Amino acid sequence: MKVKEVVKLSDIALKVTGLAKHFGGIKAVDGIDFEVKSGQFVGLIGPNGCGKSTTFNTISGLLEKSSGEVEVFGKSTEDLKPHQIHSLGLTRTFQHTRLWKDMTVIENLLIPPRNQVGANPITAIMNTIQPEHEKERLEKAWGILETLEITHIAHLLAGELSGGQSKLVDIGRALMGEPRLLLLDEPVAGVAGPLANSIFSHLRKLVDETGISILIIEHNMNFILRQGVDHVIVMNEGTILMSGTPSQVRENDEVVQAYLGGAGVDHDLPEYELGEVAEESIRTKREFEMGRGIAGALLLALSMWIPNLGWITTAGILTGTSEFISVLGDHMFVANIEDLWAGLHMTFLLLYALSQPVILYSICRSIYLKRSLDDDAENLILMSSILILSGILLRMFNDASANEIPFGAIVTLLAGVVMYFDIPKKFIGGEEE
Amino acid sequence: MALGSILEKSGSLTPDKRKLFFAIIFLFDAWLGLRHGYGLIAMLPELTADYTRLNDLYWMAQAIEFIGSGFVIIHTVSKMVNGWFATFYKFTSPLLIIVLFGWCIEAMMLGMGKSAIVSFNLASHGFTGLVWAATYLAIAAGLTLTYRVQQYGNFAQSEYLVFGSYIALSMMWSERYWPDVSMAKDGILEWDFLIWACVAGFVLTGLLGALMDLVVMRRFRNKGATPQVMMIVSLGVAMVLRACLYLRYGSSTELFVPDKDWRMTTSKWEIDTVVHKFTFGVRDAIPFHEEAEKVFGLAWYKAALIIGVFASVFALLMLMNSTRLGRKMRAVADNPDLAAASGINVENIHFTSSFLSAGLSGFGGVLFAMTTRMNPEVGLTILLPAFAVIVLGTIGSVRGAVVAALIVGMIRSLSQPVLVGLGRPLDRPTISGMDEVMPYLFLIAVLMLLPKGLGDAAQKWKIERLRKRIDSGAIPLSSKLPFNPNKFKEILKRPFKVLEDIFDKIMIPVIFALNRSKLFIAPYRKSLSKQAESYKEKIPQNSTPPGTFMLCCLIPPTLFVILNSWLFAIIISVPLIWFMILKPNSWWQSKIILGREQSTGSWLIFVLAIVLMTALAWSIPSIDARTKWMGMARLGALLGIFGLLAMSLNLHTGFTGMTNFGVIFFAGIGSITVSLMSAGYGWYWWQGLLLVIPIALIIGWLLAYPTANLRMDYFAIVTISLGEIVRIALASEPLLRAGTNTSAIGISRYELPFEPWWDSTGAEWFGEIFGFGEAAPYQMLIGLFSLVCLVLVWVVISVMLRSPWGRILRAIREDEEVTQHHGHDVFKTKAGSLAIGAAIAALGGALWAWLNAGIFPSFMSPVNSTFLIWAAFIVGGRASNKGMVFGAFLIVLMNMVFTAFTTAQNDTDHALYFIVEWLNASLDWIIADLIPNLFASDLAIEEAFLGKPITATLSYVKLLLVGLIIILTLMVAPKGMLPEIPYRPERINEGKGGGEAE
Repeated sequence: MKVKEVVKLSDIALKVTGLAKHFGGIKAVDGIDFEVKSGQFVGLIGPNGCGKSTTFNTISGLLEKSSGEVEVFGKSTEDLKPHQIHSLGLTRTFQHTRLWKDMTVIENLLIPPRNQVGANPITAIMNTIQPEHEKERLEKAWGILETLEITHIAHLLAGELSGGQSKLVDIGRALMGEPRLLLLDEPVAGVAGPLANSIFSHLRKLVDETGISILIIEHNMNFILRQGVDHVIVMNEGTILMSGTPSQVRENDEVVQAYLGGAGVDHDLPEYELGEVAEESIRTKREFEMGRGIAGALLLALSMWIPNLGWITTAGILTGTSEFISVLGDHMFVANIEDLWAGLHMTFLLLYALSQPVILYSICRSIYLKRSLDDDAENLILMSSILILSGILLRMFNDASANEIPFGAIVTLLAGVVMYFDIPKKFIGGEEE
Repeated sequence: MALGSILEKSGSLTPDKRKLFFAIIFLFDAWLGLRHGYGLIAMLPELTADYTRLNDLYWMAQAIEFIGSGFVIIHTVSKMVNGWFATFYKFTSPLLIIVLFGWCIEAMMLGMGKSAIVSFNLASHGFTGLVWAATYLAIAAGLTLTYRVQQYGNFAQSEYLVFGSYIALSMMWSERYWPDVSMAKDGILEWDFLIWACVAGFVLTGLLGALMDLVVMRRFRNKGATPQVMMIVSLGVAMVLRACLYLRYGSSTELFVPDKDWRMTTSKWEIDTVVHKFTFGVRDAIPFHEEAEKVFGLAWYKAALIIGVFASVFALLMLMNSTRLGRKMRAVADNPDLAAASGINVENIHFTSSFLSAGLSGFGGVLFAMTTRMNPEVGLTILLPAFAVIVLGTIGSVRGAVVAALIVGMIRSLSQPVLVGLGRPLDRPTISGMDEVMPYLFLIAVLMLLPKGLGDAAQKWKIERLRKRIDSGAIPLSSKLPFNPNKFKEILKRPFKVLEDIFDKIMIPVIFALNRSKLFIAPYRKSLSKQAESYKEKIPQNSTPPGTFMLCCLIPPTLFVILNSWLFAIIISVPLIWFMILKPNSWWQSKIILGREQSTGSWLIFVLAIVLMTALAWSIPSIDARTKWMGMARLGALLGIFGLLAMSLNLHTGFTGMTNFGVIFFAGIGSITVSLMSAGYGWYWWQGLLLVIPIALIIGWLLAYPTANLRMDYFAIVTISLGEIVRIALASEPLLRAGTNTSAIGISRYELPFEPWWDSTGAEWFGEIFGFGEAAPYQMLIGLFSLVCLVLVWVVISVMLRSPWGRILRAIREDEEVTQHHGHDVFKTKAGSLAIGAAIAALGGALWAWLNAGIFPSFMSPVNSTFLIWAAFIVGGRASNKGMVFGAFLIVLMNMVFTAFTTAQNDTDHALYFIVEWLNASLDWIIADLIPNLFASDLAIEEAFLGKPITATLSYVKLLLVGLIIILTLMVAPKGMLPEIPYRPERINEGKGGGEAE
C-alpha cells in the first residue's frame, strides 16, 4: 500500500485555495486551503455547522463561491456549471439523501453513467436499435447493488426505501458515474454498524484498487481516526483548524477541545410540557365531537321539519342520523355502534340503489372515508360489490326500449369501479409486509 | 478578413462580454435597419419587395431585433456590475427599458417618414392605472395570502371576485332593495345598500372560500399533496364555480348600480391636469414635448373602488403584522408542524385565511361591479394579470403585491396612449386591444432580470444594506435621536392592541361556531387524532392499485354494453365477484399480476376502456348512418388532436416536471402557421406542415432560455401568459388575418390535407365502403388522418422515452439539482423536451385548424383548450402516454355526449331528452326553491334568463363536469387512471454475478 501511494500521490485531484462563502453577513466558509491528492482517502471532520457541507456545495458548483479558487484535476472550475464540474471527474452525494423517488432503485442507478448512448433526443432512438448498451449498464448496476448487498430492493421505488437503504443506493448511484474524485457527505449516517463498516472497507478497497480519490465528511470517529483514511482535515467555524494524518489529529489538543472533547458529554435536554398540548388537543376533539353530534341532531330535526323535498331530505335524514349516532357511540364508549350503523346503512343502500344511483354513491363514499381510516377494506369491497350489483339490477328493471342508454346503470357500475381504485393493495393479495 | 478577426477576438472574451459584444452589434444593425433600411434583415430580397404585408414583417422583425438585443445588453450589464451600483442598476433598469422602447419608436418613425403622437393625460391615465391596480389587487391580495399560508396558487380566486359581484347584483334585484335602487335620481347618495352589499359580499364570499377549503382543499392538504396538485385542484374548483355562476346568471353582462345617483354626470370630482404630448419621428418644427392644461372628471364609483380595495388591503396588512391572528398565520406559513406543536390550531388558521382571502376578493368584486359590466367570464381576464402581479411582487408578500399591482396597473394604462399613438402611423387601428398583453410582456421581461420577483430583490437589498452597516460599525439611527422611536412606535400601536383584543373576542367565537359546521367532512375528525398518521404509515405510499379488481369490474359492464344482455353479465360476474371480492387473498390472485402499474394489466385495462368508450359513443342515437359516422369521425379527429396535445403536456409536465399551462401557445403557433401560409401566401398544406415543425422546435428550444431557471409556478404563469399573448394578437394583429375577408378577425379559406383527392375520388369511395349512398363528409378523412398522426407520434415518442434521455427527463422531474450533479445538462435536456413537446403540440394545432376549417381567437381561450387538456392529463395519469389517449378519449367523448344532449334539448322525442329535462328541472328547483329569497327574487331570475323558462345551458354543465372530473380524479386516484409503469428489468446473468460475490 505504501509503495502504491508514492506512485499515485504525484498528481493532485482537488486543490482549494482561499475558498470563501458568505451568506449575507454570515461567513460560512472563510478562506480555506487544502488539497486532495490522487488516490488519497481524505476525511473532513468538524462540529455541526462549521461549513463542511457548504464547502462541498461550493466545490461541486451548487453554490456560487464568494471568492477563492477550486481546481479539479488541474482544471479551474471557474464559471463551470455542476454538470461540467462532474465531467472533470467529480461526483458528490448530498447529506440528506436525495434519490429520484418515483423511479425504481435500479433505474436510479442507470441514470448517472457518463457518455450514455441515447442521452439526447436525437440519439434517443439508438437505445432501441442497439440494446447492448442498456444491457451493459444493467449488468454494471446489478454488480454494484450486489457489492452493497441490496439486490433485493432493486425493484422497489426509491421513495419506499428506509433511510439506511437510501444511503446505500445513493453511494451506489455515485459509483455508477465512475468518478475519479468522490465527495461523500455523511454516507453512512443511519446505516447499521456492521454494514457501515463493510461499506468503509469497500470504499478503502476502491481507493486502493482503482486509484480514485475520496473526500468524506463523517462523524464516525472510529473510522476516521483509527481505521481508514490517509489524511484528515479538521474544520471549525468556517476555517481549517488543522490537517494531518489521523494520528496527528488524535494527539492535537486543540482539536480534541473543539470537537472530539465535547462528543461524549450529555447535554441536559429541556423537558417539554407535552401534557398541555395533548390536553388541548383532547379538549378540542371532545368539543368538536359534541358540536358534530348536536349539528347532526339539528340536521335530522330540520330535515324532518322541512316539507319533503325528495332525496335531499332523505339524504339529510340519513346523514344527520349517522352523525348523531356515531358521535353518541363514541361518547357512550360503545365500540361497535358504528359497525352496527354501517350495517343499517347497507340496508338503506340496497333499497336506495333502485332509485338514486348518484346519492347512493355519495353516501357510500362518505362511509368509505370513515371506514377506510379504520383499516377496514372489507366494507369497501362490500360496498363496491353492492354498487355493481345494484347497477345490474337497475339495468334489469329499466330495460325498457333498446334505443335508450342505461346511464343510471353505467354510472352506478362506474362508481363501483372507481371505488376499487382506492382499495389498498395489501388487502387484496400481492406483496405484504 | 475583418469579420474573421473580430470573431477570433470575441472568442477570447468571457461569455458575458461576448454576449454584450454581439448584442451591441445587433442593436446597431437593427437601428440601421429601422432608421435607414440597411439592416441585415433587409438583405432578404422578399422582405424588401414592395408588398405591404411583407413590409410589415420587415419593420416588425427589425423592432424585435432592436428591442431584443437592447434587452440582452441591459440584462448582461446587470450581471456584470456589482456593489451598490448593481442594486441601483436593477431598480432603474425598467427606466432603461422605457428609454429603449422610446428610441425604437423614434428610429422606426424616422425611417418610415411618419410621426407618432403619444399624449399622456396625467390624471386620466394615472387614475385609470389606479383602477386597474385596485382591480388586480382585489384578486392578487387574496391570491398572495393563500400562497403564503397554504402554499398554492388558487385559480378559483377570480371566481370569488365574480361571486361577490353577483351577490351585489342579486341583492340589487331583490324585492327588499330594488324599490330604492330603481328610484329616480335625486342627487343624494344612498349609502345603506352599498354598505350592506359590501358586507354581504365579504362575508358570503368568505364563507364560500372557507367552504371550498373545508370540502376540497383540506382533503388534499391532509394527504400532503404538492403545491402543483393543489393548484390543479383549485383549477377544478374554479371551473365548477364558474360553471355554477354561468348556469345561474347566464352570460349577459350586468352593471351594479347601488343608487342611480352614482351614475349621474355630476357625480365626479373635477381635477386639473396636464396633458403631455410627445411626438416621435418626423416632427416638422413641432417640438418633441408639448404641454396642455385640461380638466379630468374622476367618477365617484371609480374612486370607491380604489379607496375600498386599497383600504381593505391595508387592513389585511395590519391584521397580518400587528394582531395575534396575523402572527399565527405567519407562523403557520413558515412551518405548519412547528406551529401545531406550539399550540396553534393549524386547521383554524387555514380556515381563517381562506375566509379572508376569498372575502377580500368578494368585497372587491362588489365595488368592481360598479365600474364594469360583469359576466362570469370577466374573472378569468383579471386572474391572469393578477397572477402576474403576485409573481412580480414575489409570491407570498402582500406589500409586494400592492407595489406590483400599482406598477402593472400603471403600465397597462400608460401603454394605452402609446399603442393608440402607434396605431395610426403603423396602420393598425385595433392595436390598442394589445394593452391587455402589456402586463404579461412586462412580467416576462422582469422575470428575466429578477428571476424571483421584486419583493425578493428588495429583501436582498435590505439585508445587504444591514450587513454593510454592521460591518462598518455604524451606530443605529435610533440612538442619535432625542427620543426613543421604539417607544413612540409602542404608543402608536396601543389603539391597535385594543382593536386586536376586540377582533379576537369577536372572531374567535365566530370561527369556533363555523368550525362546528364542519360535520360533513368526516376525515377532519380523524385528523385531530393520530389515527390519520398511523394510517399513512400502515399503507405503503406507492401501493400498486388493484388491477385485478379493475379488470373484474370492467368485464361485466363491457359485456353488458356490447351484448346488451344482463343475463350473461351476471352469469360471468357473480363467480368473479365471489372469488375476487369476498375472498381477497385467494391463492390465484398472487399468480396473476395485472395491476395498473404493470405493463400487461395496464394495456388490458386500456384496451377494455377504449372498447367500452367506443361502444358508448356508438350507442348515442343519431339520424342515419352518415350522421353517425360523421359524429364518430369528429370524435376520432378530436381524439387525435387532444391526444397529441395531452402527449405534449405529458412530455413537459409528466416527464420533465415543468408545469406547462401553455399547450395552446404551441398549438396556436401550429394552427396559425399552417392556415396563414396557405390562406395568405398560397402554400400547399404539407409545405405549411413542414415549416411549422421546425418553427415549433426552435420556439420550444428558445423558450428554455428565459424559463429554465424559473420555479414551478413562475413557469406556469409564463406559459399561460404566452398563450394569452398569442390569442390577443390573433384578435388584433392584421398580419394574422387572411381568407375571405381580410378586415374580419381570424383566418379562413385555407387548403385542407388531401382535399383535391378527396373531392375527386376519395369521398365517393368512402361513401361506397360505408354504404351511405352518397359522398362521405370530409371529416372522415381528417378523423382518420388525426388518428394516424396520433399513433405515429405515440410510437415515436415511446421509443424516444424508453432511452436514457427519457430516464434523465424523469430524473429532472424528481430532482433537478441532483440530476445536474450526476453530470446531465439540465438546461439542454429541458430545452430538448420543450422543443419536442412544442412540435407535437404544433402538429395537434395544425390538425385542429384543418378540422375547424377556420380559426378564430376564441379557440385559444384556456377554457376551451388548455384546461380540457389538463383534465385529460390528470385523468390519464402522469408520465403515461396510454393514459393521455385514455384521458383525451374521455374528454372528447364527454364533448360528444353533450353535443347529443344539445340536440336533445329541442327534441322531445330524442332518446336522451329525459336527461336534459331532468337537468332543467333540477336547475329550476335549485334556483327557484332552494336559494334564499333575498337572492332569488323574480327580478333576479328574469334578468338572468331574460324572461324565458329556466333551462340549463349544456356547455356550462360540461364545464362543471370537467371541473368535477379533475377534482374527483385527484381525490380518488391521484396518480391517474393508468399511472406510469415503473421500470423493473429482470437480472440476466444472475449466476455470474453471484459467483463474483463469493
